Amino acid sequence: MARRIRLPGIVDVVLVSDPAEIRALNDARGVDRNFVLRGPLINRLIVARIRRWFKIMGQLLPSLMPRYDHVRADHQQKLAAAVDPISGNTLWSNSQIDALAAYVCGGGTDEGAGIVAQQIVGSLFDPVYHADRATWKAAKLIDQFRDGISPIQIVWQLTGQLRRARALLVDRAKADRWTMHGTAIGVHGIVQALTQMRRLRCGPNAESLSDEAVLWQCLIPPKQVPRTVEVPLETPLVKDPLSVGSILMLQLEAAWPRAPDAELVFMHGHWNACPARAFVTGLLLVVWRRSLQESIAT
Amino acid sequence: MLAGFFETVIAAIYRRINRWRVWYRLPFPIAVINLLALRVDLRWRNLFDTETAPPDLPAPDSFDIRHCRTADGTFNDLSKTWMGMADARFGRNAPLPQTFGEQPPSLYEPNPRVISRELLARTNFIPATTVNLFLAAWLQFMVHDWLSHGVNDTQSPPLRFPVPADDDWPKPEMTILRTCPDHQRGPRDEGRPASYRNIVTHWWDGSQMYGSDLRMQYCVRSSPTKELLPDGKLYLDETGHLPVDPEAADHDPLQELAAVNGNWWIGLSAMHTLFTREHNAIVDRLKIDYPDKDGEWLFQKARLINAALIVKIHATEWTPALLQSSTLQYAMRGSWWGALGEAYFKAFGRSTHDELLSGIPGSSTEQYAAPYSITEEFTAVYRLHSLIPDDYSFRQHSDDKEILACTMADLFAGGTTKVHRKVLFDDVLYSIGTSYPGAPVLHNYPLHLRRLPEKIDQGIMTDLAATDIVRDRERGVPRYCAFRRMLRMSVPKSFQELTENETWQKELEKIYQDVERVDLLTGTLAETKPPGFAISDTSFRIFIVMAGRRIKSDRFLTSDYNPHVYTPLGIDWVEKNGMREVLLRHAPSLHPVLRNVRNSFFPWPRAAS
Repeated sequence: MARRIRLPGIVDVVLVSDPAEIRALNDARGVDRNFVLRGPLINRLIVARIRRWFKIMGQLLPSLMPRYDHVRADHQQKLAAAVDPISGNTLWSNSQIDALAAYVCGGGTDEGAGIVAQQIVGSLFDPVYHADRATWKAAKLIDQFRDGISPIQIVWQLTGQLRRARALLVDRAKADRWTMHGTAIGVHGIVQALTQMRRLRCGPNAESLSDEAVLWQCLIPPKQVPRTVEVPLETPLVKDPLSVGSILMLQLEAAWPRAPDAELVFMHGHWNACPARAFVTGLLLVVWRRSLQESIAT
Repeated sequence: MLAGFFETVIAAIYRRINRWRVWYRLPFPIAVINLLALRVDLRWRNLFDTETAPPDLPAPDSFDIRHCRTADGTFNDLSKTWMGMADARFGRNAPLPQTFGEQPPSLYEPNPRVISRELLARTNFIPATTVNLFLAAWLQFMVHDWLSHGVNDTQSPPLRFPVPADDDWPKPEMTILRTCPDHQRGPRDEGRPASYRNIVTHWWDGSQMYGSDLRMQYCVRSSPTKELLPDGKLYLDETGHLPVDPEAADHDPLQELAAVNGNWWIGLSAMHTLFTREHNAIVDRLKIDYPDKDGEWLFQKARLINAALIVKIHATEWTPALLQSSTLQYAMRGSWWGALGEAYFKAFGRSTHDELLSGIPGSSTEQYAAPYSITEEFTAVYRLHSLIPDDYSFRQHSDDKEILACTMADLFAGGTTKVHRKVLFDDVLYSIGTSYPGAPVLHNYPLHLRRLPEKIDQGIMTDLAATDIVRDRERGVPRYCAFRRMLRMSVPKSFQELTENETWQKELEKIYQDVERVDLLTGTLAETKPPGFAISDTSFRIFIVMAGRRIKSDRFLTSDYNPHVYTPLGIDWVEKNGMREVLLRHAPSLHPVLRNVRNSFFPWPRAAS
């Protein structure tokens, strides 16, 4: 059962880590992504944090836009078609695949792989996108900031580190929020999968793994994603009815060992499905197969 | 679905303690709490559900689901009514992403036949001298209650791998049929690891005796003329033995009938006969208190009582015999009587519904991190064929004089009936009680099971040792090191860390080269065991989570374990009886032999010749 943290006036957050409960609450009418300041204090702080750091030109990143935002839905549909490997579009180059395959075989560094992955993702949106060490470090900082709350984040804010990282990524993305989402946030799913793949490739059974086994052992969803409650909601998954402004934290990473599938990792089949599913799985399989042709770096 | 705060803290503390000291090296009271912490940790972190679209079942019209076990295990849990039913999927103890089955070439590497021959095959019988052969028979009796993958897949191409040139196997390659796949996979299963279904009920409900469907239940309740016994008893022939199985008449006319009678041998036959007699004894006793009740009611109540008695014997006698450490004795008996102990229970009864203080029976039903099911990993660690001896001696309980000496081949399937015709049932029990099982270690796999005769319908000879290796790989059970890793145990970095036996270190290294490749079965057999344990600490981790879970998840063993559901007589029967009482009730002549036996699974003294 979902765990609710509630202190009247202070906080009202529900942590959901069961795959079936995540599905049910994500699809419940009245559950959305509408980040307006309301509700108890900590809920307001969470929303303020999202609005402060994940907004570009007055608009939130697409993964934080409401369910019925038609611009988001239409754009995601077009994007999904454009970045699907079966579209025939050039999505990556041979040299990029070689570099990632070499990383999977134990060569190179995490940073090197990160930059290549960021370049591949950035190029999907902007042919002249340029990823480098600075953009990768910036993206890592944004990802760590997004992942949870820790005291070090105050230092990042006080020193301006976070602001500068965000500004660099926005600048490279030419203030396009789709590019920004892909190169600052989405890319980490790919890099994390490559790191897992490296572990598998160096293991004893690499050549015997099926494509599904590789993909679903490597693709790990984001730690958690937020949702807001828009109408009073009664659900058997939480003891008392949820009120408007309650925040649901869908803990995808914790649920993943129970449901390692496209539905959980990409929310496939749901209103908030990730448009990059075919692209990411296609890229990873190409890298994996290439890596099997190479020998392990010693 | 979260552990309580106190449990979480204790589990977290012990996770840290166990990084530098394993639980069995801690002082007794700390070790006992450590076991509780391990159980909490495993209950929340190593139970995974594989069902994606379970059936929505209509309640049966004319069956009292509230107070009786259904034949197919449905409606035990009244919210998820499909939970634990026959044909529900096996769950997992490993996180699902780690459970993809192995594919060639690793599926066949190292060669399973080589492992069977070089590491598993019995050279000399190594007995486990702290227990008797009932331990092995009981284990198989229980396994048949909990799980079966059913008939293997004859439609798909079988698994094939070459047999080494110098091998005495009569064919150049070994053929193993695949496990029957799950034919009910849906869109939600896309991309997920293969799933398998348990064709018997997952519950601890005596389904090996009572069947997992109504057809089989009527079969064991009926006379050879197919008439349902009106008094609720199970059918035994005039000599008190199980009848022969009419369905096996064409290929084995002497095969005894039981709801689950595969892999039948004399030990299994003895267990079934004993507890079928026990069922009938319970019916007789119930009839005295409830003369007006019909046969169906008597059958259902006797089944509840008999199954609960089996559970109690397993928890308080069998497991402490298998794991002879003071910590385990206390913990396992505590799972039934609670921390307050048996003496307190006998003096004051079950005073609370708290699992810790008063034991699991009567406490609240809990499913923890996943709906109840038997798991594939549990199936894997229960591969204890090494317990089975190859040679048997049947002797008279009065003077220990040998009546019959034979091999496993003579006792298998219908051979059991031949033994019953030559040896009195009490002498069969005496012979089993005074014999040792094999020790679950390397080089002790029964030779007979490594060359089972060709099956007529399949044309396939079986080396069960090689099959055991292949099955774990096929079903995606992690190999030994990965298995320990997923249980958060320390992982050996070398063969020297895996086992203290220097010969085995060399043998394992020669075949596996890399310790990460060691199979779960060979690893657990080779592993240096905790003091007093017959099994490895690795296997024990699965035992500790699943042993309690089989009781804690079952409504009839927890919230509905009460006089209202069982009758006052039923609860009394369970609480006042044990294996010794069952043996003496149905084989009273064994009284002198059992007089000084503390645990019926310990070796019995031999009669003076």
